Amino acid sequence: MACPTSYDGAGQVNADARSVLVVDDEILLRYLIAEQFRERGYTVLEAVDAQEALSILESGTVVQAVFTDVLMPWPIDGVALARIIATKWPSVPVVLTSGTPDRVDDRRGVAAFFLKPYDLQKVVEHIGALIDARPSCPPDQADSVA
Amino acid sequence: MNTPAPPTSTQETILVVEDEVYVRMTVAEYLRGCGYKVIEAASADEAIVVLQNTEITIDIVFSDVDMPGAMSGFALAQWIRERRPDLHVILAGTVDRAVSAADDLCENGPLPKPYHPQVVVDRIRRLVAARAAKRQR
Repeated sequence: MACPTSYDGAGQVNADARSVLVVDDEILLRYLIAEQFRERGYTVLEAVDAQEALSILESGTVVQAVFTDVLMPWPIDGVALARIIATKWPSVPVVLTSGTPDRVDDRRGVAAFFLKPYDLQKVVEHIGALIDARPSCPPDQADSVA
Repeated sequence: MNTPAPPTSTQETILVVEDEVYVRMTVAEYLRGCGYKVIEAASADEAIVVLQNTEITIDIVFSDVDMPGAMSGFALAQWIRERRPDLHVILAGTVDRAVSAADDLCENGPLPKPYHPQVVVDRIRRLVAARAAKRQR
């Protein structure tokens, strides 16, 4: 498994930062959850849809967990995004959220599901636990800078 | 759902409006590094949702000019002038201008600049070029 290294906006290594990618086409929800993470010291990347989320992941900016809405603009919804992440970035847990109860048959890459309206604190705690559960990496196994 | 708390002390909040995710994320990170609180909007429509929310305090709007959708940066600036004349609006149509404007804001930011603004330009260009190269394969 590749050992992720977190980078700041300049592409410099930031070994202590936790980083999460929030994906939601509703800006107020995206902003609220992103701020909850930032107040706890997380680096937060924000994407308005799956296309942006994939651009961020492909940029090499390390993401340690993804929190994504299910319902997003065509052609890739949150479930499909989770499947893609499970294939290309298998060490990155994906947590889904939706306003309708979980009827997702294909749970590939889905670590958890939160029904909206969710408790912001519980989401942040759960994702923090998922990140902490990842195996730690020795410093000499850092990825190259994107 | 919890509503956001108002910004503490004198930390100013910048609303960055930019549809290109690589520009938005790197400029936003730079501004946060200077001590600003930053809200990211991917379109003028998203920006208006934020601006119409009375519980969110915005001090500066920093917007791209050309954006997809019904409203450009110019139209957004016009909308703001009519409804929120108190807001400082910065429009930037190119990456260089956006980073230059961000650098100007960082000159007056609460914290020292985290790194040289050319680093931001270089990173954006590198990311955009890498994405273009991948798409051509």
